[in-house]
Amino acid sequence: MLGSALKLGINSNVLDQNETSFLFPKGTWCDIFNATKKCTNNAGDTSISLLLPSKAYDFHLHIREGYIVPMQDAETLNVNTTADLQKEPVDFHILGKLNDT
Amino acid sequence: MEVKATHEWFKSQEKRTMIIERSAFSGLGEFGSRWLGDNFSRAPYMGYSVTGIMAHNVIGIPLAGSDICGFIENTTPELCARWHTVGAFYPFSRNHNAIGNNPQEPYMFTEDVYEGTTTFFDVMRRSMRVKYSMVRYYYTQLHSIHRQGGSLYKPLFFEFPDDDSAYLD
Repeated sequence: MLGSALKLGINSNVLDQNETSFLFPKGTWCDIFNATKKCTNNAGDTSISLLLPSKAYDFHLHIREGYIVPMQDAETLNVNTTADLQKEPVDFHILGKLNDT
Repeated sequence: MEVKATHEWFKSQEKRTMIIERSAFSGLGEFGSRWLGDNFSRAPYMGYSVTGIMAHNVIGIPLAGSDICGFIENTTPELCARWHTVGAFYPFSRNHNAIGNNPQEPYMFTEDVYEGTTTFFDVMRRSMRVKYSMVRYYYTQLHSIHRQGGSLYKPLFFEFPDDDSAYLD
């Protein structure tokens, strides 16, 4: 986890493995860098495993339900320094709490 | 003590510090940060970096990271590119190399093709932009931890302690 709001899935110790199994605990998880992808919903109490791509550029950063995360898309903004970022607007990614529990 | 003294001197000059230290003791996190020392340019060491940074988050040094692409021995284009992707999420992200090894700056890999028209340099540049996309989140998290305690880079079971599977690898 990165803080309480983001879950990172990344293959960190093997080369040439182009698919890796990642855990998703209870709740709904949405890919924050690929908003058009379908969210993962795990209604059970324990984590489920999902096989996801793990090429050299692949990572899976998911926002947890009930959290707000500030982001600035540096790729689109074409910024190169943090000083550049200060001049740019901030996007807020919000995922409401979807279960009552 | 050196980190604390350095931090306090700069503070007395009304300057902010960004100190990275090679050795540490609990409590250092109030004044400075850590890189994880001399690692090897091998895939398992890229894996050890994850648990190393998590351990530092447990002992109150949230701003930590290991040498991206590895320090000892020569790296390879694929290891270096994957390490940039992994390292984009380190609280402290830095590519660092030992004297005498093949250079491993991202611009050394502009001619090395990973697949299709994508070079290893493209993978590294993308990873750096991912890091920059998250600066606001990281800065906010680290500030909050500095004021109230806590951890940023942590295992799943810290957030889901009742989920037995969260304790697995």
